[in-house]
Amino acid sequence: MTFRRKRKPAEFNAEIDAHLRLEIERLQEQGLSKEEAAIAARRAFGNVTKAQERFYESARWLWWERILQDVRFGLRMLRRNPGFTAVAVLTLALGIGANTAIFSILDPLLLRNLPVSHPEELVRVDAAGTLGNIGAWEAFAYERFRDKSPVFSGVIAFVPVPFDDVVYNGRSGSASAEVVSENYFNVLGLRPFAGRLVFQKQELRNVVVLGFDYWQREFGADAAVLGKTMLVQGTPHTIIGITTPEFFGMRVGENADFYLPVPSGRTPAGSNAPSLDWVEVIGRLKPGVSETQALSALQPTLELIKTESGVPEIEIHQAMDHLVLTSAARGLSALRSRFSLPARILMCVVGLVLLIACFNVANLLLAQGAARRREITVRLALGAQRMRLVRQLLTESAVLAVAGALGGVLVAHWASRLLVASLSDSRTHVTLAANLNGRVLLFSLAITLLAVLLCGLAPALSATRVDMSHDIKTYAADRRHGVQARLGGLLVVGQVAMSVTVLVAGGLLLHSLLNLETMDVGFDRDHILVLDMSGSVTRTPDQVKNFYDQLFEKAAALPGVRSVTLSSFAPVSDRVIGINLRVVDGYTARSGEEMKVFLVGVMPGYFRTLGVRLLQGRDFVPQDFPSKPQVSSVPRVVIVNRGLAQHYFGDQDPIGKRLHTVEGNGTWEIIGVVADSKYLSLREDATDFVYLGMGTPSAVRSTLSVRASGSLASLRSALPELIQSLDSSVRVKRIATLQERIDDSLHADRLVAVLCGTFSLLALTLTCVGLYGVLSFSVARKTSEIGIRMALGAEPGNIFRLFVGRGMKLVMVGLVIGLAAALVATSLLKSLLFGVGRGDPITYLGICLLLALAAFAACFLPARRATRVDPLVALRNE
Amino acid sequence: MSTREENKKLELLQGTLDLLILRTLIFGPQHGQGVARAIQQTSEEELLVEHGALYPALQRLEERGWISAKWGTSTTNRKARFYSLTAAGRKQLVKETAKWKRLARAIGRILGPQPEEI
Repeated sequence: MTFRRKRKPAEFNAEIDAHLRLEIERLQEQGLSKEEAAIAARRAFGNVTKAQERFYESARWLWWERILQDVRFGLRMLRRNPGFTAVAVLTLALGIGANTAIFSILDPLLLRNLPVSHPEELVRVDAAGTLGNIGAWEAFAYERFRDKSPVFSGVIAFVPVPFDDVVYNGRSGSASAEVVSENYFNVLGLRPFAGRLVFQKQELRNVVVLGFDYWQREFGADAAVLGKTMLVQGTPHTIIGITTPEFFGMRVGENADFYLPVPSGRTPAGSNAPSLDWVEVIGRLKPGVSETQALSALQPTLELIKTESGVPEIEIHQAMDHLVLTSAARGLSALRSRFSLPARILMCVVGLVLLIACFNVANLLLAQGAARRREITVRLALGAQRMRLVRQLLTESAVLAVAGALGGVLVAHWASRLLVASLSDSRTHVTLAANLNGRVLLFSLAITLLAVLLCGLAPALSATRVDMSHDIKTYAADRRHGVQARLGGLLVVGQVAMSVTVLVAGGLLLHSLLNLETMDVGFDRDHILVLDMSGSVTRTPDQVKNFYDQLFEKAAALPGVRSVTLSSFAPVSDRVIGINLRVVDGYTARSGEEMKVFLVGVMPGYFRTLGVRLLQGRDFVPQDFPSKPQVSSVPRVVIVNRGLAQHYFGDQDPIGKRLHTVEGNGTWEIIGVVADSKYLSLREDATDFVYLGMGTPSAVRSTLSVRASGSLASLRSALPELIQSLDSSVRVKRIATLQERIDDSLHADRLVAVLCGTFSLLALTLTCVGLYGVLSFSVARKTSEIGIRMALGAEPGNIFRLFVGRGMKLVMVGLVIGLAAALVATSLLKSLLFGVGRGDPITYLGICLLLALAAFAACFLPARRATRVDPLVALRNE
Repeated sequence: MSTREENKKLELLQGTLDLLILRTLIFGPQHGQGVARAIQQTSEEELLVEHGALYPALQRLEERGWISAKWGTSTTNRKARFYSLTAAGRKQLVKETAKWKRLARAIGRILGPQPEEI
C-alpha cells in the first residue's frame, strides 16, 4: 500500500466552492436571480458537509490519522497520571526486558542455525556403545568417512585447541583455535570477509585464517595483516584470510579465534605441532538423503573402521557399537547440553513474570477505567461507538507497552551481556553472539503486542460496558464497581498462583543448590590446592623420577605446605576411567551383569592429603611399590570405596578379597576401604571406585595435590614456578583449590538457581504491588461504606480485619491453585534437583509462609488507611 | 427536502456513477460541475445526480489512478479542478462499458418487447 500525499481538506473545500460558483453562474445565465441561483445550486449539490465528511473518510490514511490521534490522547492521559504511568512502564519494562534477555541467550544457543550454506544438511558423525558416545574419531576413521561414504557431499574434521603461545608483531598472547581439515571452509560453503579460504596442499600447516572478531580485537581490524606472519607455538603461519563476522566456528559458546588447516593424521613423533589425530567429524548429507538412509548407508564404512582400528572386541562394544548421526545445523555446543534445559525453564519463568506484570498493569488500568467512568459515559452518550472507545483504550495500553518495551530493550541490552558473562566459569570463556538482533527484537515486539492485549483488553471492555442512565447520574457506580472488583480480584488470584509456581521452582532449585554446596563430598574442600600437569612424552623414566623426587622434596619445603601427593586425576574433574571386572571373590554375578568400576591411580598419602576418611584396613605405603618391576603373580594392592565394598561384599569383611579385571587380566587385592568421594560431578550417585596404588609414575601427566595451612595465595604462584624450574616442558593446565573445582562444577546449577530465585522474587514483588493496588482501590471506593460502618460503631480493628481478610482470601485461593500448578510444573525441574523431591514439603511450606507474609504486608497499608477514615468527612462527601 | 419534480428523475443504479464520469471525461478534461452538467444534459435530464455525491466518486477514481486532476481555469475564468482520463481509466471505461452493455442487453431480453401500457 502506498501512502499518497494527503489532499488537504481545504483544497477539497475550495473545489466544492468553485463548483457552486460555476453552477450559480450557469443558472444566472438561464435567467435566475443571484439569490435563486445560489439556492438552486445548493439544492442540486445536496449536503455539502456530508460530501466533505465523505471525502475525509474516503482518505485511505484515515486509520493512521486516528491512531495518531489516539496515541496523542493516550500520551496526554498518561502524562496526567505520572505515578500510574511510572509503575506500569517500569513493571512492563522489567517483564519485557527479562524475556528479551533470556531469549537473546536462548536464540543462539538453541534456535539459530550456523551461518553456513544449507546448515540443515550438516550432521555430526559419532559412535556410541555401552560407555556412551565417543565424541571423537581417529584420523583414519575420518578419512574413511570422507572417501568411502556415498551419502555425504563433503566431510570435515576439526578439533578445538587452545594455544597459549601466539605471537604477532612481537606481542604474544593466548587464543582458542580450531584445527581444521583442508576442506573445512569449502564444505561449509563459507565466503571470506577478506583474503581467501581455499588452500593449496603444500600450504597446510603454514597458513592461518583469522576469525573476524579476533582480527578486530587483536589486530585492530588492520587489512594489511593479510600475507603477514603469525607465530603459533613458535611455528610461523601466513595469514591468508578472514572469516565473515557472523561465523564463530562450529562450536556455539566457544568462539574460534583462528583456524589452522592441517592434513589429517598424526604429526611426526617429537613435534608438538597441532594435529588432526582425534577429531570431531561433521558430514554434509547430499540433498534429499535422510538421516536414517545415511545411517544404513554408512554401516559398511563403520565395519571397515572397526576392523582397521585393531581395537579389541570388548572396546568396540563399549565405544563403537553403532553410529549416531545428530543434526549439526546449529553447531556443536557443550554449553547447549548444559544450559538448554535451564534456559528453557528460565524462559518459562520469565514468561510467567511477564504475565504477572501484565496482570498488574491490567489491574491498574481497571482502576483507572473506573476513575474515568464519567468521561467514558459522557463520550458514549454523545454517540461514540463502543468499539471506537475500546480501540482508544487499547491504544493507551499500547502506548504503555511500547514505552515498557523500549525500557525493556534497555534492560535486556544490559542484562544479556551480564548473562553471557555469567555463563563463563573459571575455565571456559563463553562468547555467545547474544546481541539484540532482528530476531530478538521481533520476539520483543511479539511479546509487547501480547502484553497490550493482556493488559488492555479486559479493562477496556469492562470500562466501556456502561449502564448509561445509571452512570451518568452518579459519580460512584457501585454496581459496576462490584464487577470491576471481581475482575481485579481474579487477576490477583492469577498473579498469586503464578508467583507461587515460580517461587516453588526457585525455592526447589535454591534448596538443591544448598544441598550440593553443603553435601559431604568425601574429602576436604579447603586448604587443598590441586594442579593438573602435563609434560613432554620424550623424557626418560629416570628424568621423570628425578623430576618428581625433587618436586615432592621442594614442594614440601614451601611455607605452609603440610603434605604433597600425586594421583592420576583429582576429584570433581569431570573425568573417570571405567574398567570392567571379570570376577569378584565371594560374589556371584548375575548372568549378563556388567561389573563396571571406576579407577583412579593414587600415591601413598593421597587420602591423608585430601582428607578422605579411611574406614577399614590400611593406607598404601611406599613399600607396596618396589622400584623393581613387580612379579606379575603378586597382586597389586587397591583400596576401594564404601560403595564398592557394600555392593560386592555387604556385611563381609572386604579386606584381603581379590578383584579380577577383564581388561589387562589383572588381579587386585583390597587392603582398605575409604569413604565415597565425588569424581565426575557432585550429582553422581555413589559409584564403585577402585583406588589403584601407584609408585612414582613414568610420565608427567598427573595431578598434584597439596595440603597447606593458612593462605594458599603464595602457593598459587610458587608451585608453578617450582615446576617450571624443574622441567620447563611441564605445563600446569589448571590450578585451583578443591572448593574452586566444586564451585566450577556447580556453576550451571548456581546460575540457574540464582536467576530463578531472582525472578521469583520479582514475581512476588509484582504480585504484592498488584494486591496493594487492588486493595487501595477498594478502600478508596468504599470510603462511604467505611464511614457508615464506623458511624454505626465499628471499631477500627473490625475495619482492618475486613480489608485484610478480603485481600488474604484472594491470596489463599491463589495459593491453593498455585501449589497445585507447582506440583505439576516442577516435573520439568526433576533432572536439575538434588536431594529434594519436587514435592518437598519444607520448600512448599517456606514458600507459603513467605507469600503469606509478603501478602500481609501488601494488605496492611491499605487496610490501615481504611481504619483512618473519618466518618464525618466520608459521609459528607457522599 | 426533495420535490415532486425531482422524484420523477431516475435514481442512479449502484456503481454506474463511476462509469458515467469516465464516459464524460472521454471528450477531454473537465471540472466537477462540468461533469455533473454533462451527465444531466446527455441523459436528457433523465438522471438524478446529486452533485455532492460526485466528489467522493471523483476522489475514489483518482485514488484508483483512472483519472488525474489538476487545477486550471474554466471558460468563465474561474479556478477549478480539472479531471482527465488516464490510460488505465480508458481501459477501465472500455471494460465497464462492455459489461454494462451485456447487462443491459440481458435485462432487455428478459423483459421482452415493451408493452404499450401496463
